[in-house]
Amino acid sequence: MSTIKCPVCGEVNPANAEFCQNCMSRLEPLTGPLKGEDAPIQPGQLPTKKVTAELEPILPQWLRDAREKARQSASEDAADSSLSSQNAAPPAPAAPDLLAGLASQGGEEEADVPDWLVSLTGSVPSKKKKNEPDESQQVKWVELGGHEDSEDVAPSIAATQTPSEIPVENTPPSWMAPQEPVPEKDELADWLSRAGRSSASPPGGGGESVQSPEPAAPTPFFASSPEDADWLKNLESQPFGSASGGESPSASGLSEDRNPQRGPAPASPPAGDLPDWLSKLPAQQAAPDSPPPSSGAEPRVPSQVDRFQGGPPAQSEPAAPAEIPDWLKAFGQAPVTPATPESSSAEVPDWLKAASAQSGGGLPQKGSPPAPSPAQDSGQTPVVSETPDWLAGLKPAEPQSPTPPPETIASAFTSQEVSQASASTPAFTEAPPATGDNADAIFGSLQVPDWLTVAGPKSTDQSSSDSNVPPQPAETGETIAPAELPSWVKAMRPVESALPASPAPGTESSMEEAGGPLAGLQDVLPAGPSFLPTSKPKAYSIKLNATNEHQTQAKLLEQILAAETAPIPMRATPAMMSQRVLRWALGVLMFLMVGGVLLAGTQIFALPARVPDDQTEMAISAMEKIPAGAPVLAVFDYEPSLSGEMQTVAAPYLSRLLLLKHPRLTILSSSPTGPALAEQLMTSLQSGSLPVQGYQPGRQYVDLGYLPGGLAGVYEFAQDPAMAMPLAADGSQAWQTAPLQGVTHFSDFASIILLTDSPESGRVWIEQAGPLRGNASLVIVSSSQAGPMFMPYVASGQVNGLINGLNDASKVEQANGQAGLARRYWDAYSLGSLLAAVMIILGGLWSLVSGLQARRAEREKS
Amino acid sequence: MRYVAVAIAIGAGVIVLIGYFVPALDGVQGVLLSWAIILAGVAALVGVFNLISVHGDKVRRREKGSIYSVILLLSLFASFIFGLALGPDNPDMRLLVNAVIVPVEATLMALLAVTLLYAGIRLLRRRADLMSIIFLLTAVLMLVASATLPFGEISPLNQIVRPWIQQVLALGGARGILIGVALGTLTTGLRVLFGADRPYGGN
Repeated sequence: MSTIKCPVCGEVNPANAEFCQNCMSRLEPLTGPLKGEDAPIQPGQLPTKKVTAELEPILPQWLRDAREKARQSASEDAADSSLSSQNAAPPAPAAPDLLAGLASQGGEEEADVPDWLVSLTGSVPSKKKKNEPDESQQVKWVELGGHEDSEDVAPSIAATQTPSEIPVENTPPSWMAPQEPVPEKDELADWLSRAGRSSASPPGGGGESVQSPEPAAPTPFFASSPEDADWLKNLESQPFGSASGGESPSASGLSEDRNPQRGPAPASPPAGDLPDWLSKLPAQQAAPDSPPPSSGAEPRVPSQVDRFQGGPPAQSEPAAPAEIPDWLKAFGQAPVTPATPESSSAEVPDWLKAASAQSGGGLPQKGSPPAPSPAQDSGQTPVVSETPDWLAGLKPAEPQSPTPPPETIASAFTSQEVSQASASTPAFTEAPPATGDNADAIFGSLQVPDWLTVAGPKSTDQSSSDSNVPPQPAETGETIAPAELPSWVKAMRPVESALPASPAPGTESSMEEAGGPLAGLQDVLPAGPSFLPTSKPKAYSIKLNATNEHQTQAKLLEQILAAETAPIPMRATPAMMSQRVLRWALGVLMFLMVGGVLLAGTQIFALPARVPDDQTEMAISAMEKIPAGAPVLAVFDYEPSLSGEMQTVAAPYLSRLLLLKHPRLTILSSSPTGPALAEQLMTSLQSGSLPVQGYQPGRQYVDLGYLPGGLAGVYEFAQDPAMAMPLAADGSQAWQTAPLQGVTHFSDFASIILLTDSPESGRVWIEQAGPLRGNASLVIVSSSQAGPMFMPYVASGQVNGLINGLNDASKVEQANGQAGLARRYWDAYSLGSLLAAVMIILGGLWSLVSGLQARRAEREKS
Repeated sequence: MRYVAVAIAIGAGVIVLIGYFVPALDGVQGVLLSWAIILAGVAALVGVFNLISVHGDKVRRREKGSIYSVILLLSLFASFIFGLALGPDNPDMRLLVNAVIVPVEATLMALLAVTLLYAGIRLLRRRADLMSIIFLLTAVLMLVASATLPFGEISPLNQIVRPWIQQVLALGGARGILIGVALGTLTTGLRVLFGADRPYGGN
């Protein structure tokens, strides 16, 4: 009938049982998603069997070799165990799984604990020869992945334990025993050297190493020689169990060195300083073959340290059944489970698992299944008296620290990795060999706890009496604090200078590495600044905050810009043609009307009537006052454009003067064209309606020509006429001619007749020459456009008469009694004036109306 | 140099001005005025040369309307040469003035009559306000009052309106204009004497 073992309490139950009959734990794990397949494995729960044979090819070569060797040794051990089971006594009460794990751990750690630590603790390493098969089996099932092997291992362990080996209850742990002082300088060197040789020794060569009387030569802990690499390779290829299957070389070496020096050194600690369970130990110590406990060297052991240290002794010293707690009582009859894979697998990193498998599963880690205590082989079975604090802390539900001990880290490196590290890392090359005095230097930097420093070599293990059993470093290794690392491991730790002095903001919480070579270290890999939370950028509103005034101004700006780009309509010019036509029409009309009348020579229109005492009559009166033959100055100051009017106006007056007074005429021009116009006028007088005969140039009149200088010339001529105009127009001496005889000053002229069409030139003569004319009369003959400007001077008496335009000229002709040009032009003049007036009136009205309509239309459009 | 020009201008002006009040300075005043007459004649000659230069550039550059510049220059040189050769009193030279200059300028003045008439007609279309109307009414009255009818004068206009306009309105306006011109001339003379205005240059 097949049975199933409870993974929790170890009780054997029927195969069809679902729950344990003892602890009511589930025997078979739930399968499937609904049965919690993905749920994490709890402490004490067996892992689900996995078929990993198909993953065999992907394993590295060294791992496959290790597994192959493990299978071979498993088959051999199975045969041995079957034979031993027949001769074995009834199985002793098996320790619970957790105790078994601690035992295994303790056994494994014993192999790695250096002898100097053993000497410190005072515990005598015990032999575990008989546990080797069991240990190898543990390695086997760990490597093969079958937990069924645990069933086979338990009987074997039980077979190795005899009733006489059952430890007496309350027996203090071996490490508490008094220990003789041993020079520390040699312990570490020996241990390290022998550890190297023990690793290099083949599994079957354990006896040779044990029998070797000579201590191992001091060897560097990590040697770069090929020989050293070999033993490291053997460490990789051979499991610890097999390596130490026979006799641990290091242990043997240590035993040979220490046994002669070891002696009892009982030292009872003060009762008051010991814990309760420990204080009872001296009183209850009765084992004849075991030395008195000397654990008093550590009077005050912290509970946690005690829990860590007390593992192996508790396993080797079973407590009394009466003091076993309830939960532990259930395991009273159960065989010692070599290991709890779930605990180790749950706490050991993956890389460490691989390393452990490679090294044979004998990794000296804290949670690894303990090897059978050497005390068992020596016939000492520890008695479980009560559950100490450290044991209480090892309950299945209590999680264990994931930090592997230094030994685990050390074994995790293969020889190849170590050799590479030693070749590349200065820490290894510069590390002093762990032999002799250098060993102190290696561990000198380590901070040894107080309890460890105080602990003297007082306590001796009960098994230390057996001189054949070499001291197991694993026992002393249990006393190593979890944080105590070998120097070479410390050398691999990051340098403080490479770490930031102060944690980065936001990373105050310490982070402990869970895996890898840095497992267990805190704040080794600080978080970079890129992982830090950055400040959230300030959010700005994208909404434009514009007031009504801003919007108004914006609209105004838009209107201005739109007005700049808007096309400007071109003004139409439709009236240009009509204006030009109007001009032509007016011109043709005027030309036809005036020209027709002139060509017709009609004298239809009546001449204006003479008005007494007007300016014309004044001019005629002033002319009549001129003495006959008196010098008269005639100033021609008009332009050729108005010569037609001026000649028509001046001709009747001058003709009357020349015919009546026969004056000596002096002609002067204040314009460049004046001399020519004067000559033309004189010529016209000779051939006019009232012809003036007998006036020849140089005889009756003299032409002085053009007087330049404007106002200054007029003033100068008025000041000194001879000086201003010394020559006549023909270049002769004017002042020596007959017309100018007796004339030296301006006032010598009897009359000054100014013929001008410009008010400015007339004003100059009036203003500049008027004061100097003396008694000479000043008569102005002007055009119609300039006459009104001379009216003030006529009214003021500065001008003695004015003949203004064709109207006054017609009056002079009337006075002469002879029709002249004035009468000839009067009809055309009158008709033209009337026509112009009419056209202005009519055109003005039409323009007014059309303008109003246009403006009205524009207003309507706007 | 600038101060010299200013000093000469101010000095000449002051001497001529003082010469009106101090008879002893008549000689100096007369000399200065004679220099002014000579300089004015030379300025006319300089003007002729300037006219030749401007129109000569137009002909040389073959600008638009340069043909008229060519005619001007030819007429100028012809009259100048014939004037020097024949003299200004030569009948041919007088014919040149009487046959060309006087009819041309008289024609332009005749065109002015038509233009003024057209402006009078279009005035109310452009600017139909009171002043425009008064302006047009005045012009019409003067035209009508200046003319006569075949049967005689228009008595009210020729005997009342026209004299009133000439003796009152025109005389008043002319006096105001003359007074303004006199004040302007006086101010200008004083500014020249004080050196405020320098029409002779020198900024």
